[in-house]
Amino acid sequence: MNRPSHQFLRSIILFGFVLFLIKLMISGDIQKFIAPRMMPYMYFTLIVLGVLGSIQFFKSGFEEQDHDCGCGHDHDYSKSRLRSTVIYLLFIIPVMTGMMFSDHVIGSSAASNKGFKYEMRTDADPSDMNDPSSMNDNGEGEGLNQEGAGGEVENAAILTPEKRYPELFKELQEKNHLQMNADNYIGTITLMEDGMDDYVGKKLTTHGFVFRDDKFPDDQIVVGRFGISCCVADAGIYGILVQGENLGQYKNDTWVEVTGTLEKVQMNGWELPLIQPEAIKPIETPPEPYVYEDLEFGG
Amino acid sequence: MYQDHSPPSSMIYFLLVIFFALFLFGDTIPFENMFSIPPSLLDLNTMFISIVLEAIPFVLLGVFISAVIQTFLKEETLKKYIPANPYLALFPAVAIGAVFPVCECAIVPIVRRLIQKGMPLHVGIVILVSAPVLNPIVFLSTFYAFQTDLSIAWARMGLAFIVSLLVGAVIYQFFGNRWQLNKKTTEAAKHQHTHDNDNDRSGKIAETFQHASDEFFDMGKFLIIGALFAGIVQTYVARETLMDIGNGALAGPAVMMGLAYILSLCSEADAFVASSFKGLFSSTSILAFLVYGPMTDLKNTILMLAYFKKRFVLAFLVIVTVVVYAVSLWYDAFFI
Repeated sequence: MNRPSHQFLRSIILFGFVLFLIKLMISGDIQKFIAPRMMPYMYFTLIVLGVLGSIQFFKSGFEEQDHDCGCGHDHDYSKSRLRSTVIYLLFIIPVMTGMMFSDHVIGSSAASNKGFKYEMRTDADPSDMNDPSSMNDNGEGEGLNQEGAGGEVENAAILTPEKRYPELFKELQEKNHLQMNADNYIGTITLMEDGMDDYVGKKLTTHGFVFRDDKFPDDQIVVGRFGISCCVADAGIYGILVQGENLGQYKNDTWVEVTGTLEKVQMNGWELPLIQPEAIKPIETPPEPYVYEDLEFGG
Repeated sequence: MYQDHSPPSSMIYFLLVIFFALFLFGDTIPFENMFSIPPSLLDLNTMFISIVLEAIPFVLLGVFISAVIQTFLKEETLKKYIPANPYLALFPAVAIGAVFPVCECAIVPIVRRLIQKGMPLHVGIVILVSAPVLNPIVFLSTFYAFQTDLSIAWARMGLAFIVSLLVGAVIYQFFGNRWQLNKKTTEAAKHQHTHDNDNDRSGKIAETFQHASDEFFDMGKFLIIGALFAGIVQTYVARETLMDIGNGALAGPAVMMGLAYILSLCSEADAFVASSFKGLFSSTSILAFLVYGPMTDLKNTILMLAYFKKRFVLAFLVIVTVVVYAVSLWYDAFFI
């Protein structure tokens, strides 16, 4: 009579997970945890957990018929009450906190923890700021270390950003006023990092949350968004440096829209886009705050 | 057979009511403000849950594949295809690892099952370390993340291949064919053995689901603890702290391996994170990150404890770490 009760509790926990997933899917908050391309896996999880929960639920109604074998393989149910309570709480807590705080969005504190890639070591020895290959101590790093410089672009097999975003590339080349939106966010920044020279002098309108690091000078902020490839744990920040007067009034995590003319700066061997704001205004946090890596292979 | 430790039904109904209440009203009630929860704790919660959600489908897939292996793979078949020479046996194992695009969460229950079925330990471990890296999806994501430098993707595959073979060989040296699954897993194996023969098909399906559910809870607790640790590290340990250790030829790979270990990223996604380190770290260090992370990390170490002996998991961790580090230094000396 003991087993059914464990099975009953397990079925309820599984239903808890199912409810949590359904809630996330209905509210769209699932995108605050998982990239859209992972959704098929989430539907799979929903169905499997639903089936498992139902089986457990109906089995828990039949007392003796429970485990088909009855050969004493009690490998699953814990021996002491305290232990089993702790273990079940491990499952129950994420379901509950998940449903309570599902709309939380990571912001500037996570960004400074993860580190804005261009910014991470600006206080380091300036001699290695502009040359990625000097990172290699033995000095013969030419072979592999030229990603930043784009030294191997001749090889036709290499997938350059231009080839990866052909339409966006054309568009950015032709237009004089570039508009960044959720769909072209990562693409635009990737293309600019690849060859900033083509874009210097163009106008750019971008948006994102404000983020600064302790090492930033007062007149500098990053306006960026988190890019996600599978789940929030692998989020990386994509952003544009903004430099100008009176930026102090925009607190970290405020969402803003900025328009300005593109300039090129060198930092840590990256050529980075920077804009001086001509217009800057706060905006509402978008319902989908993250942008997602666009991977054509899907799975 | 049991003492009465089971939770009382009234509590369980109460839990169900809470779940429903949260399902309906969870996002309309501003809990954040009611309890004045610090934002970093909310970040932690989000990271933790996103890792759990991302891993669950793959754990379930692993559980089902391992159930299929349990039902359909005969021990004799397995014996027939694995070469008798323990070192020769490493090669088909890497090939299996390369063919199956199974990520690191799914591979643990599968390898456990293969070892239960009589696969030699070191052969199983080769599959465990190679499958999450040597696979087409990981190759493609690395390829995308390092668009201008194809050599990273190829070198990742090449180094993973070498490391897998070496890890297998070293494991064989140290452990031979001694049994390294933990007691619980061993008993479960014996039990399943007895019922292989006497069940009809429909019973088998029901039983598969029952086992899947048991295993979800068995393994789930390790997964959740692992995800919690990874979430804590992601939220509270600034990556710069690790980077301050250094990025020289010797320290660089070590730091990046440490980073790969504590971040516990999915092997499909880690290339994008790694690409944000180019310019800061040598390509050798980035490769060390890309090879080490899928083979072992914080989340996976805890996951392995679900099935393997503690001492073995520790030895495995040390062996993989030493081999990956040595191979990256070798790569740095001869190819860079």
